[in-house]
Amino acid sequence: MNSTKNISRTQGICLGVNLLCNKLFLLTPAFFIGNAGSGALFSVLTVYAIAFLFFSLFFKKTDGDLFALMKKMWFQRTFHFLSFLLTLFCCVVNFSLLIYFLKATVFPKSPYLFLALPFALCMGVCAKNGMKSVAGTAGFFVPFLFTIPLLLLATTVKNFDLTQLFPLFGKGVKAIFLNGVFMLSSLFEVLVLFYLPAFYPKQKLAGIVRPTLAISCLLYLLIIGSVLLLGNSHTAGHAFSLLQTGFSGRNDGIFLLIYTLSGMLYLASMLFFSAEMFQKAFPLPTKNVLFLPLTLLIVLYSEITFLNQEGQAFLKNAGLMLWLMPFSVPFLFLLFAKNKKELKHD
Amino acid sequence: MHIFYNLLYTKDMRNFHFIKNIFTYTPKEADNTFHLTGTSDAPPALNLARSISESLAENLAFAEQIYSLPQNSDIKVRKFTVGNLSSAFLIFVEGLVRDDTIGNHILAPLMLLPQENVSTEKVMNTLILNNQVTLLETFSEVADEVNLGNCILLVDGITTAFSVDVKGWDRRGIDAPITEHVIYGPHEGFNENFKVNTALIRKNLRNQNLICETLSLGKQSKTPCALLYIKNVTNRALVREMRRRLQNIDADFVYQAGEVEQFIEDKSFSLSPQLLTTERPDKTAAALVEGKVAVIVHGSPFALIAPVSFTEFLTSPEDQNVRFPFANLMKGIRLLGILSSFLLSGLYIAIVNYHREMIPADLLFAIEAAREAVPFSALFELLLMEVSFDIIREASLRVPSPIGSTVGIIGGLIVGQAAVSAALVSPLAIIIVSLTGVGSFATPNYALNFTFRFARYIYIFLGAAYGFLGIAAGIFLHATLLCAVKSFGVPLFSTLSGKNRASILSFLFQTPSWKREKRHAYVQAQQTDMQQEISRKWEEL
Repeated sequence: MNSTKNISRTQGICLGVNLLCNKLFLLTPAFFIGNAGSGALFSVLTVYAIAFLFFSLFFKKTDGDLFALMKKMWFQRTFHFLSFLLTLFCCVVNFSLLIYFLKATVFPKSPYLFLALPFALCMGVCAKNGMKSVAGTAGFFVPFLFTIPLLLLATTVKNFDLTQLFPLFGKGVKAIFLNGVFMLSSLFEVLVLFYLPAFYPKQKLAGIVRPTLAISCLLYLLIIGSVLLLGNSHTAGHAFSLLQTGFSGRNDGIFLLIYTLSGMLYLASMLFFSAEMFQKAFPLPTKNVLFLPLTLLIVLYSEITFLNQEGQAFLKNAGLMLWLMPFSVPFLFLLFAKNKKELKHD
Repeated sequence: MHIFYNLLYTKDMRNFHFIKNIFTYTPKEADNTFHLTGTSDAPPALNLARSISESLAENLAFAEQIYSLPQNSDIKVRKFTVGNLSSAFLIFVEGLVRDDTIGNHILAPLMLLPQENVSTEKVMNTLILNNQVTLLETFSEVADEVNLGNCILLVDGITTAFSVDVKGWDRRGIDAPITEHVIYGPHEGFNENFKVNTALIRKNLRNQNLICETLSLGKQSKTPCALLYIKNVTNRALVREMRRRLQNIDADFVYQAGEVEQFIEDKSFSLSPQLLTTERPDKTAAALVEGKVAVIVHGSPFALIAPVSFTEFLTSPEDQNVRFPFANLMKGIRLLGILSSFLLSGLYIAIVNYHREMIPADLLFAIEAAREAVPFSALFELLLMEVSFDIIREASLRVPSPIGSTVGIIGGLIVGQAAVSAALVSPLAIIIVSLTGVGSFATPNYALNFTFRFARYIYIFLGAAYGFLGIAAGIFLHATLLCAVKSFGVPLFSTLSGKNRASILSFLFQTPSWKREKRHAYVQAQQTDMQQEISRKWEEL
């Protein structure tokens, strides 16, 4: 029968696409458009070009196992621990964002914990059921989660204003190419791909990473492009409210359904991988005991930062440096690794 | 005197009885109330492993002890003489055997034997006219065979018993399946006799590699059960696992396929079924060809099939027989029906309570106007109708079939119409509940129907509490829990795991017959191909 450890390629790609594209529903289009103006699409292309280059180099020099580069155990442990902290940080940020969105739209008077309960339950149960469950849920939902919005956004084509694309380079070349490095933080979640060898043959890992990057790049271009061409909206949610489907009044509800489903999947995946990172940082026999405390930590820490304006500002600024972990650290190890030719044989 | 009498009577009845008993005698009232208490007078356990003795009297006494004769009125013992020399007796269960066969093919030839010493060989040769004759050594074997409906012959001086297959009880004929009707395709369904059921499969699947192993379930019931698979197709590990689970059911009595399903499924507390139950021999045969195993339990008109993916619960036997464009159309409509069966009520509550902006303005006014006279909340209104609908459904299943349709009409038309007229519920709630009800009938698998009926109530509460957030949480948890469920080591959503493209496509689409080239990857069959890549060879000629 099937191995309980393995996930399929489709599931891996769906998992990666959701992790990278979940933020597209709310803030990321605004970040890209705010940073590069009408040149946001070039900014997306820059970010993805860097990511493609990095992973091409990575798979060319290694057999897909980052931790094989880190010969000394304390390197590995430090990397795992830092990854754990940053992954948890991303969970907190996204958890806060989801609650903030719900409070701003449907539940203005509901208490925080009332809204946090379904998310906490979903992420905890899904992560506790293991990688098969996380990847299986991703494989089930992601094709629908990202096809439906695209189909619906396609109905707004008549509202597209092509003049919004000009000037082509928006706020300038510097904003697109140099600040583009900071925009790499949007792809922080590629970090979890380094942890996939535990669940997928590392020799075939490129088969997951490359399609994931290609599909997510396409989604970034289509969704940010739609938002940009619609002119006066900076989030996909706002663009959704402009849709006229013919069967409903306003479509904010459909957006909420899709965004929360994608958010729950994102949180569950990140919770699972943060537990995986913690387990590797402090070698533990099992990670099952970690899910409940980590969920509680995310819920409570998110509540504190949610109520605290300074906390939100900190989260926003610190988020710009997230790119260092998945890109610069592995790059440095790749650069200074000894016996590069032997890495593949390892 | 009156005061004294009252004092005695009201204050303490015992005083009154005491004084009364001085002058008159009252016999104590007998306590006829039955109290069920533990018993210590259970009969001693018999050693059934005991071998058959040479002495017929001894054997008869022990057989009478085993079957509590003459208390047991349906167990018959027929004493007679073989060839006017040796005494013998037959023991069988009245009603399970063919009386004429016993008379013509056992009693008559044995009684007419020439007067000489009888031996095992001689008796065997005399009984050869019968279908099956088995030699038995112990009384436990004798008891098993009698319980199965065979007739046992014991002869004085022979330490072997003869079990003669004379089974012949009345049984239901082969009818059309009740839960899996089709327009195209065969109209044969299983019945309660497992030999008939295995024969029906063998009739569909004429192949010498089809193996039908017989096992017995239940330490005391010894219910016959058939494990079927195709020797050169099915994964050996799967057959071993099924056999292991069946052989390790440690229960006294097991009778039905539903019970066996609960004994062998992976997760008992999951809402989703993990084995496919079908009463169609053609569907069972198709599953065996796919590389699965089937279990048929005596007394149950259902076969259990494993492993199974979630897609198969959504597939109707009709799909195989209809041309694929129409099969896909029907499948799409069926999926919509299934989705509406568990989601529509929750979505209605969520939209009415939290997301009114989604409803077009004119419709919203109409809904509000309809609900104006209703004094209850949308949640209570919907629950009232859902519960009423389920009660009507249960009632129409239990009553005799001629009245069943009347109950449906009364429930659907009169109660619904009356509820709207009495302003108990709004017309929209009736429409929603009707659509969910009709949608649930579109579910091809009866076991899955229960899952969705249960889930519907959860979605209603989630929609009422959280709106679309609750619905999203419900769908997410539902999918997550389904992903964690396995059917004999195969995840229920294995068709989506993408091991081969055909598996993924089959989740949503019905492929044409000539395109079903490979078996599902999750079955891990010995042979992956079912047909050649180009099966319509005539096109190439």
